[in-house]
Amino acid sequence: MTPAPDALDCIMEIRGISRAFGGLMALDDVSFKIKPGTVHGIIGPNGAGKTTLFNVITGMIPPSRGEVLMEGRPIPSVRPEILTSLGIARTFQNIRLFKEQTVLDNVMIGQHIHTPTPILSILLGGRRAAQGEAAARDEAMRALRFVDLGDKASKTVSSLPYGQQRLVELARALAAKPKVILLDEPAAGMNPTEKAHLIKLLSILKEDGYTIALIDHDMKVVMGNCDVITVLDHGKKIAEGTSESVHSHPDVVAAYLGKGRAEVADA
Amino acid sequence: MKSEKKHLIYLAAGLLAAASLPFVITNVYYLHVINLAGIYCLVTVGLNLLSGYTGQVSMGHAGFFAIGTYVSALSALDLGVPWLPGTILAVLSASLCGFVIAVPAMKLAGSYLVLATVGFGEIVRLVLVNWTPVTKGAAGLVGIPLPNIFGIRITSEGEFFYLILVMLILGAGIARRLADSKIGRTFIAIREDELASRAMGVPVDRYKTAAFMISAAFAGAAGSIYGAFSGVTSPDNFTFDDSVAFLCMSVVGGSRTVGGAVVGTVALVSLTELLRAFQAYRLIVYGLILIITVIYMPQGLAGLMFKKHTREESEADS
Ligand SMILES: Nc1ncnc2c1ncn2[C@@H]1O[C@H](COP(=O)(O)OP(=O)(O)OP(=O)(O)O)[C@@H](O)[C@H]1O
Ligand SMILES: [Mg+2]
Repeated sequence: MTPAPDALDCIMEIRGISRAFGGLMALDDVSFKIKPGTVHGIIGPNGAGKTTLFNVITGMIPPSRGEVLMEGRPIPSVRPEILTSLGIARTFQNIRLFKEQTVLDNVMIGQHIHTPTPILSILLGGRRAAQGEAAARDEAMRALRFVDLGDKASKTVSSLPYGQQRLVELARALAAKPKVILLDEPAAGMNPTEKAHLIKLLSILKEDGYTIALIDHDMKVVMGNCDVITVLDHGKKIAEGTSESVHSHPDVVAAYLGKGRAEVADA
Repeated sequence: MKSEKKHLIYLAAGLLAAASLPFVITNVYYLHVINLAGIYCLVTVGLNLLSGYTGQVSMGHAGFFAIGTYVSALSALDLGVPWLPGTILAVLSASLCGFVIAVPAMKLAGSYLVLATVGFGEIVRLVLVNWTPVTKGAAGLVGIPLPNIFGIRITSEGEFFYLILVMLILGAGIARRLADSKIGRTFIAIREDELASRAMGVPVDRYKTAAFMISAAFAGAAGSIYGAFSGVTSPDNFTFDDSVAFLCMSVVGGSRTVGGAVVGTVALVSLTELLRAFQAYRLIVYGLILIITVIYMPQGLAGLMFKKHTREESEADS
């Protein structure tokens, strides 16, 4: 589960990304770099373009302009299925699990590119198929135990409470053995205990050498745990830096004013 | 493990019961209906992999069934190809068509895909009607030879019964193996959330294509035995109504299991026989049953039958 620490000072680079929806600039010439082994926060008010940025990175939406580089190589757009092979996995703001499948099966899908599909052996009930399944299951169980859901493996995933579903999504992403994990509001809908648990997991992942890009509204989640924070507002990058510097940045305070200064001050 | 053993015992008992049917049912007509049901089962088992597992609803399966029937029958009639190699040809041709229809399917979703499959079924039927020099048009084919498998000639209803049973066991076995494997899991993931599957590295287009080809292969094999079993065939046997009937069998039985296909097919074929007098209203009856199924037992008859079982299981692990 430990990706090799990268020698590059930048594992992922967002380069001049713009994306328009009709007349709306959801992303407007956004550029920044993500350093390997860091937790990189992406914050901004509702509609700032955070999720759109993830969608562009993961090839779900083509950018109008710009490109994203992973380890120095451009990520081809609109081919989300190759992401995991580039070392990128993501979660979704509006949980996208395979609802009718078990928790374990969900996480096993995360393993897709790492397990063989020996068709003949599958049809003949051969040993290679069984071994592949066993290996995938072990690996998936490891990810599940990491998020403390080992005992829920055989449950239908939609029967789990919201907070746990978020963790299953995290486990599914981990099962893909990514270098970079993109988390879109992973703490949304979690209670304080679950949030604390999630924050602990993120710090373990960071220690293990993962690079994490983290979108969140919850300032507590972002401020305390990110090495670098990029702030978006109306599709533009308005600030970047450490928690402290971003927190006191006048544009950031202004951007959050619409939602009340208190939210920033609270954090 | 214990339930697995129980499963095997059920399976063995079921097979034994099935194998003894021709001795119990001596009425040739009933046996004929059972044989037809067996052939349809093969189609719906394949349909379930596509529509139930992968979520790609097909209302054109009569088209694949027709291709299987005609390819096998024509290669026997015109080229003297024996039934077994003819079946292989039928399977290959049907899955080739499955490949072709999968191309638009990659771009279409939901009702648009359904319409495309309807179109496919109609095109096949129109080709059969109009390509008279080869297909003999609306009149259809007559004198399709009986199967002769390595010297074993299949002639009576009883002999057909065993041939069809072997095919069905083989087909259901293959379907189960696929369904329980990484492939089946991936099919379901695509049904549940295509985009999330892609994001996790699943080559969705390839899997959808595979599902269409596999599903079509089942219909092709079923078609091959259907022609030989009936002796005659015509485009009338492969209408939109038949495609809808296949889908009803799948949904009524429970499209998300392999067993559901068998249960649903047997249920609907039996019902059709019971309601022979109302033949003209067949689709209305099917439609009503379909609505009732969707509302009151979304997992189909099979879901109803195995409900207790799964509830016990979920209680055990909670
Ligand atoms: N597929 C789309 N089609 C049209 N408009 C879109 C689409 N996706 C996003 N938008 C618009 O782009 C803007 C940015 O949306 P985005 O979801 O990226 O914001 P966000 O920063 O993630 O907000 P939130 O904090 O609410 O999740 C919004 O105005 C949104 O309505
Ligand atoms: Mg968002």
